[in-house]
Amino acid sequence: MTLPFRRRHNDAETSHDRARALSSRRLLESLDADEEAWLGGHLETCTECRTEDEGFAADQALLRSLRDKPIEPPRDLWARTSAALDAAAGIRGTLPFERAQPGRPGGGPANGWWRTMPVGMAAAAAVVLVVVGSAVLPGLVGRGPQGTGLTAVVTSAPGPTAITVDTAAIPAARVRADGSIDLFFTEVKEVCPISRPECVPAPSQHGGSTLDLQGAKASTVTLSPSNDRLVFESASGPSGEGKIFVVPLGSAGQPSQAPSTPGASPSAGTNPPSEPPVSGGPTPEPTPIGQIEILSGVTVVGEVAYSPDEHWLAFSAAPKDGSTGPDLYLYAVGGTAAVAVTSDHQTYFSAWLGNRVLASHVAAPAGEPGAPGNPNASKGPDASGNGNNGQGNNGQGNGGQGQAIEGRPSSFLFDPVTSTRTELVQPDVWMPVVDAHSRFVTYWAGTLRSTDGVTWRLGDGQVVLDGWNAGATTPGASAEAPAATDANASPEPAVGPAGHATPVVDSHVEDFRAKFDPDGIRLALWVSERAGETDGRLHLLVIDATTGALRPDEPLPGVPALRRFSIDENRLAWVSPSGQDGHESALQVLGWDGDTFGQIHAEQDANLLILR
Amino acid sequence: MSRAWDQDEARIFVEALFAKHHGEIYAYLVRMLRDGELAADLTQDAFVKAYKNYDTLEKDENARAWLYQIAHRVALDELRRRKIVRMVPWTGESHGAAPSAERLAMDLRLSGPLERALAKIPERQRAALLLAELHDLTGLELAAAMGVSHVAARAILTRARESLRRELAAEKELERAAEQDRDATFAREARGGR
Repeated sequence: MTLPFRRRHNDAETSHDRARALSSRRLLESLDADEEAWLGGHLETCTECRTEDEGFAADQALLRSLRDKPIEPPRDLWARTSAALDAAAGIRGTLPFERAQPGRPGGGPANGWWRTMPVGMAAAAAVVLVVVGSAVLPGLVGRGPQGTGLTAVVTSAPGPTAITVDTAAIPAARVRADGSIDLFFTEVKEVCPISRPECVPAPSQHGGSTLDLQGAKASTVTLSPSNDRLVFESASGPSGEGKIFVVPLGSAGQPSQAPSTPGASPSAGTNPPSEPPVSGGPTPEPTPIGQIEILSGVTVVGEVAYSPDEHWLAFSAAPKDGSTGPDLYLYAVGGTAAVAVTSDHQTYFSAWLGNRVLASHVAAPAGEPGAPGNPNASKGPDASGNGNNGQGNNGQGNGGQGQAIEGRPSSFLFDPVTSTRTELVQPDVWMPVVDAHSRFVTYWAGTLRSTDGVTWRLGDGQVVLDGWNAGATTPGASAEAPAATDANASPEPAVGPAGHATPVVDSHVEDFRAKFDPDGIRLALWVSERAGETDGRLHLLVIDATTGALRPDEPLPGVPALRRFSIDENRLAWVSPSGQDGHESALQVLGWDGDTFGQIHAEQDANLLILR
Repeated sequence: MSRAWDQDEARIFVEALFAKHHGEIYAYLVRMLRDGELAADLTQDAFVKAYKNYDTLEKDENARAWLYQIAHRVALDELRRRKIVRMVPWTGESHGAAPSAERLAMDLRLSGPLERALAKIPERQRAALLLAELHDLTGLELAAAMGVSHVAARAILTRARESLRRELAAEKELERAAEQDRDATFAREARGGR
């Protein structure tokens, strides 16, 4: 297709045609001095050609931005190609089994870049990994519907050497068609350079058990740090919907002994729990499969997470009937029930900071629906109540049209032991997450937007990284502070972001989720550009611990990922959505040893779930 | 000067070539064809062709451009075949009538305004842009990969840039209209929800 006014090349070229051609060419290769001078002179006098020249350059930058959307080949591409090469060899040359092994001494001419590759790269040692169910995976009970005899044949192509990493095990599960889940742990000891995810066989798995969680809402299934308890919300099935259960995992499928109770019971707080978490209370009565119902009539909003000391479980939940927005709930491990610690119906659990809860609250302007005391407030939690979206029905694309309400978020720390609530000093801080060393915080800096005062979407603002002021006392010390008697009391001055926020996402954001690694210098950030989607892109950002600045190179520059991911010692794990490169969902792992990063595909299955 | 074809040598060569370039060749074919599964098949075909035609490569240093040339031809052949297939009257059978979930997901990944604009420009122009801007081929490599003269490669690239500008402008106009529709819908819903 050519422009209507455009002349064919090699006809008498106009000066404008020549300028356009040179503008294009100099983006490909350098012009000689005469051409450069001529073009410069022409552009000075021709506005149209100058616009074209600038447009070409802008489009080049736009095209190159596609590099930020890496397209990874399917993991079996080498196996397929190798088989095709064998078949081709049968046609053109000798039979495959007669062929000498690649990389043998004297196997080829002495020069050429491919002949100078290391022996390890050129040696196409055919590694055949055959994994047949639990026979070679002791402890792994059952497989997914497609995995009841998973046979993975991985032929290792010649490639770079694997990178040895010392990572924490990845707890994950396959969700079966009948609603039960197969729990398993993946140990990653080696990863491959990013360009060669198949340089070593898939990592091993162990420690599985099968749990009957019929009707569980998959997005809420969460494993405790010690791997001895599982939490989930029932969405259907025999248990009925809207109930939250804890399942002890002392031994596969059997209820375990009730764990030790927290060191202290909650003291009187600003919003004392209607039923305080029990310390040393009666041993809960497990159901036949060991389940303990800790709450009913609700739906979880956002994440469920155990405290690092595993004494508490925190989440936000809204009434199942949609009558109000969510409140913050805490469950003392070993107790009988979770209790609400807020009653404003606009509080969202964000993360744990030490053994205190970070949560966010949104306030609508007085008189608007959703404002405290407004009788028009809210018909229900809509999308924010689906347990899939901690920020509600996030979005910022409306631009304030119609009757949208602007909400102003604020965040606070809550100590479950003393019921002390500490407000963060900065306004407009939404869903903050602080690293374990209390140096950095990431959050949505901006407003929220809603049409009903219940379901909130991201408004005007951005996801930022900031320093963290821990206040006069360290997070752990607050447990010894006197109990607060006022919800707005702030015994620790100046707790919150340091006020040096740096945006970390350039693109439009509808939803996000952030977690730091244990070192506190690697930030995993999942971002979705569409509201209510479980698919998004996962980034790993590295922070310079000295300057607090983000390093320019991203080890993981936004790969397709489901919302749940796991970051722990020396690794980041996520599930790639089905359909990527024509494959089912796959458990993907980015491992690191200092500044050396590598990746590996750990498992492929239709219904994978990361549990923590 | 061409080399003699030796099976072992060809295999070692292609394995090394695969290790070094399969990712970029696959990505190029995905962007040309907008179909991950088909791109995987054609990547495989390209390396098999490289294996069979190993003796046509004159210099090792040209191997990358030579491989792109093979991949480019494979892609154009496929696109040409598709056009022929589309001309065949539908007989009522539904081979591939419903797009697979994988295909839909890949379409989604390639469905930004830039990708849509790229999809609308002529195939050879699209190839030139992808090879020059995303795969960093030099002018001479681009010419080799496309099987044309250096001058012709530059001309194709210039036309490609012009086509892309025009299609991007059209895409932006469409997006602007769609955004206005969304805003109007949201405003209506907001008013209705009070």
